Amino acid sequence: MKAWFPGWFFPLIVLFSIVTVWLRLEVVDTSYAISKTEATIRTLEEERKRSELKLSSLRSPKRLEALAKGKFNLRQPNADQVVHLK
Amino acid sequence: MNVRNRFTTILCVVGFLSAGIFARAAYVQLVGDPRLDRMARRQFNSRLLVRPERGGIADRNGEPLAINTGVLSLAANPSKIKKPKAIARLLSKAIGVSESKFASRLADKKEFIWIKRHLTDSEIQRLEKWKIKDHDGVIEDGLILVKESRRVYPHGDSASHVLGSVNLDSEGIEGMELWGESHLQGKVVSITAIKDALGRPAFIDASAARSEENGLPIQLTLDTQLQYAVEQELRAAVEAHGAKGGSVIVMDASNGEILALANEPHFNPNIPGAPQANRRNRAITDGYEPGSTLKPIVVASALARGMKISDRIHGELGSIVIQGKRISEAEAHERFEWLTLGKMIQVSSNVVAAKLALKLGPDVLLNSLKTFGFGSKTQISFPGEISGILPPRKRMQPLTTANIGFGHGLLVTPLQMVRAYAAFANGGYLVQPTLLKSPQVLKGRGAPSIRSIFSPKIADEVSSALEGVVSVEGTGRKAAVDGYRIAGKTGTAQVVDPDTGKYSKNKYIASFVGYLVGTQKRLVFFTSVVEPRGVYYAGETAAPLFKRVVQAAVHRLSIPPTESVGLPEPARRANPPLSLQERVERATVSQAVPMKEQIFQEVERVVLEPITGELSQGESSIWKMPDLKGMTAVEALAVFGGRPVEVEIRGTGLVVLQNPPPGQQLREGDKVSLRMKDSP
Repeated sequence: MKAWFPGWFFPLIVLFSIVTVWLRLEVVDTSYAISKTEATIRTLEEERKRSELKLSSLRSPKRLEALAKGKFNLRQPNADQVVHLK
Repeated sequence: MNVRNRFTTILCVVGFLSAGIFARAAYVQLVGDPRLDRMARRQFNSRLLVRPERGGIADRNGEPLAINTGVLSLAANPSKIKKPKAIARLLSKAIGVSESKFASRLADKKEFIWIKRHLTDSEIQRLEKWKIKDHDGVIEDGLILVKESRRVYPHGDSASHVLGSVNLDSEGIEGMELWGESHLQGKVVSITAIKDALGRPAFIDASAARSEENGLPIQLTLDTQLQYAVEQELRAAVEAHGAKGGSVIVMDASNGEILALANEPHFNPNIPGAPQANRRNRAITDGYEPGSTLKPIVVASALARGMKISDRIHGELGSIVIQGKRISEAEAHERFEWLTLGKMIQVSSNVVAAKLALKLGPDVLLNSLKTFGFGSKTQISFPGEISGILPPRKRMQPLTTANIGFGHGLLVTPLQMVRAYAAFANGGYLVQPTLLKSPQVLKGRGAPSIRSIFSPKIADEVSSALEGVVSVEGTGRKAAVDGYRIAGKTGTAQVVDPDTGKYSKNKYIASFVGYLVGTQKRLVFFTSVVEPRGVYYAGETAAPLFKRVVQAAVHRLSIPPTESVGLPEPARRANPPLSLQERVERATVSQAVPMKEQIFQEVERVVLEPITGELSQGESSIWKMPDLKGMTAVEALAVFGGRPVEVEIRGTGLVVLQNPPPGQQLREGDKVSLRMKDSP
């Protein structure tokens, strides 16, 4: 028995097994971490889209005109009040 | 059998079974079994469809007009719902559809059904209220919340006829959304993922996922600011005249780019279910009889065949009979005698136009109209464009030919008309209208066709005649814009009554087509008011709309005035007095460029002369006060050219009083008062 299996054989097998299992677990963990990060990216991307939509709505001519007329009491200029730049 | 034998037998059986299982396991592991292999793959692998993001649509300045945003939809797997009746009752309360309808749908044996696509915020709140879903997104067994993408149009109804709309699956169903579908939708890819014990995708084929291609963006030629202004003016005009609808097109005559395109009635693509009539882009997909706006085209055809703009045709004192039908002028009092072709355009004589068409003959007339692009699509790259209708040659009886002379008996689109007039504005070139500015979309389509259809001399002659239309004596005087040379033509055409098949006596389409003359940017405009009530003449309906659209365009695109057309301006509202400093500051803030010199260089005529030898103490200067009488406010301000004097302006119009008077000394920091008054 001794001649077939040297003393270091079983500890080596155990070590390989542990390393293999550990690597497998690491791969699974990393995959979940990647999935989580991708979800965060998607969330942030969604947030960016919402912000773009909000920005676009905020600077829409319709809103700006309503603000200018309602809040600041402005009106469209007469022709002679417009200065054209070259 | 004694106990020992029994034990031996059992041991043998167990040993054989174990050996069999071991042998099978070794076989499966070492040799493999395709059937088991497939079963394992089915159990652990799943296919995911990765939907690409739809490309956005932006205006010419990059302002987003159509973008995507995330939205939740509710689906169900009826086979996994334990209490379908209770769930149906709760869903009915949350979503507002009848309980029986939900109950019948949940009784389906399908694995996936949609409950409600694109949930609103209030519906999500009600789902939480009725405990169907909690704040963390955990949902009742058998129900599924699906994240989807929804198309949003941040400017609401603005440019809606051009943009079109999409369905629930974000597929274009009309407008540019439909035309650009292949470009916008991107490429859907199917990728493999390995599921974990809970069925969540754990390992995704990253290289396959990378092959997903999002839709490409499309940039339009529209200018959002101008588009909005044009829409406001059109709506106001349609409302003021109690009209059925109307259209406006603003096009760059040099390259065919559409800067604004508006129609009434309108719709909001964010709200589904608008009537089809509101969604039609009438400027491209509907035809109309152009009426008198066709006359300049007939004249241009005559000029191209050797006639002169000064050639005269008799007006038959207001009416002429052709094939038993009487052709009359629009007004009974118009009893014209000899009219030149130019004057015919100015006064819009139907009789002279009819006689001119007869003189040209049906072949020449039809060929000319085809040369101007009538009777065929403009190829603007927009779904549903129509080609209009020209009568076939065999039906060109003298009466038909005469009718075409003044724009009846044929069908054109507003887009075709604006393109035809662009040729007058750009020196005789027929441009291809376009709504697309994206190089990616245009790639491979070749350069847009631009071809010369008549000489610049003809364009100039017709332009001069069209400027006459906007003069005091012309039919389109209400289209005149102070400070700008305008060339254009009114057109009032009767509408065929669908019930009788004859021209209606009280339904008209009033239109005005025209352009700016002498400006660097060559813009051409089309305005129409469909079936106005009361006063229906284009000169009273479409022409004032044209004026307001031109004003909006020149202000927003900063097109400097060319010259005064000499028409009395309507009374202006009083201006609050502004100092020079305030004016410069306001302009600087609004334009964000250093511009004192720029403002004043352009209109400077009278110079503020320093008084020789009288340089003051320190840095202050002394000038001789010039005579500013008769100047506009802008011209008067230009005289001071940003020098440190305070200018106070009261009233509007031209300078009638000034203090200090001409010739007196003007020192740095002095106050100059100008009293303005509208010219009579």
